Amino acid sequence: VSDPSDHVPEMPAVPPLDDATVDAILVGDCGPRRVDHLAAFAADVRATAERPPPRPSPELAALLAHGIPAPSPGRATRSPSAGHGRRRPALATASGLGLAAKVGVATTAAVAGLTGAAAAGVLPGDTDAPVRKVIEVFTPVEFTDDGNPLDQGGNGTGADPSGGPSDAREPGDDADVPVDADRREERDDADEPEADGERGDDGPDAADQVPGTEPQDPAEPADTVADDDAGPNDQQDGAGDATDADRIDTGDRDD
Amino acid sequence: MAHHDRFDGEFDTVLAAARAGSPRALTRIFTALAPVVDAYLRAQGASEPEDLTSEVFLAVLRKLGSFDGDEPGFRSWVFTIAHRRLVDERRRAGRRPVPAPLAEAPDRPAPDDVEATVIDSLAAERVRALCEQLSVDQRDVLLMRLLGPLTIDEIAALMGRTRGSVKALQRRGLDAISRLIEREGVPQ
Repeated sequence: VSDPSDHVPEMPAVPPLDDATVDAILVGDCGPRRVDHLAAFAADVRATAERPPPRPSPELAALLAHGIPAPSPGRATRSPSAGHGRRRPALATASGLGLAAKVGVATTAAVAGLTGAAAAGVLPGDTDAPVRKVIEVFTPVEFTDDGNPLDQGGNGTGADPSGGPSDAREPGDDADVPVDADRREERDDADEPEADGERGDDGPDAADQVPGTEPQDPAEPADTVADDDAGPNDQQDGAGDATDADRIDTGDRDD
Repeated sequence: MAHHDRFDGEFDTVLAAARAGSPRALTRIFTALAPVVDAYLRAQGASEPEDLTSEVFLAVLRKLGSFDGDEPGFRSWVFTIAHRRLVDERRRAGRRPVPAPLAEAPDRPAPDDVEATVIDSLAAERVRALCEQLSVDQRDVLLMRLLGPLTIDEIAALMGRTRGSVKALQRRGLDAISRLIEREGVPQ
């Protein structure tokens, strides 16, 4: 004959929780006395977040100490397919020039652009003639009555191969573009949503979405679709694929 | 219990300054939310919670420009990033031998009140021990609800689940905790 105390009931002593009680526990309201132990647990969990912040890594400490450089104004409007790999070094080069050189570069670029546009006849009718006039005054280019440049070596723009765009460059331009700067730009590209198109997963973009504001990518980590009580081993692969991409994308460790 | 605003109502100002690169504002964001993220990662059993917290905030602070929303939305966004990093760590941990357990004491400035710190550490260890016995999803939901604190909808969006699924997970998680405390003699 066994002692009655040997029979441990299969069902919990506390009846299953209803939604109202669960909510009361989780938001910190006082629930029924029978769940005091759960309220205490919830309070203990919250208390773990009331400690001082952890020591930041050296990389993070440097970021906190020095701040984040403001993004360049041109970045926001950059198109992902606009071939920025060619244009950015030119911008980087210009940023290293003196004021006079910058004015010269800007003027030359503007005139070259207008020259091309005028020669191509793409400017509005009322604008075309005055623009040609200006070009003729400030450049060696002259236009015929039908709008074609006179001194063409066949390229139709009137730009002198020896005195055209290359005049905008100064000795050492290439050297002015730090190699690291180019590499940094390439890494930065990976941070941008446009550059993520090839991933086909929900890496950083999904991770950075404000939940509830945008639809989730259907290619969620496996843990998000696993059964409620699935163990960690059931969730590894898909989840990792997404977050690996996240890590690469953010370039956290390398900057 | 009202939500504890860790920015004292100045979130918009802090966010704007942080976006402009202000070190002070960036530090304010870190000091406000790093303890929460660190607590979440510790309770989840992350092997190197401090390093992971730093990783999370490097990502958060570098991507501030992509965030648009209010303070609750920001917490949810930070938790989303933290959770993804945690999932990544779980996956990596599954591929390599389990390292020897690290000392639990976090590397932080020496506290003034040693007794209180010891009690806090014991409570934190008890929390971790209880959470360890939950299923991964139950633990995710309960900790995000308690520490975020994230709403059911925010967690549902983060985990790609329905509201009903999240509610079921939190209820089953608390039921499990209740059983552990009452029947398995976990010390209180």
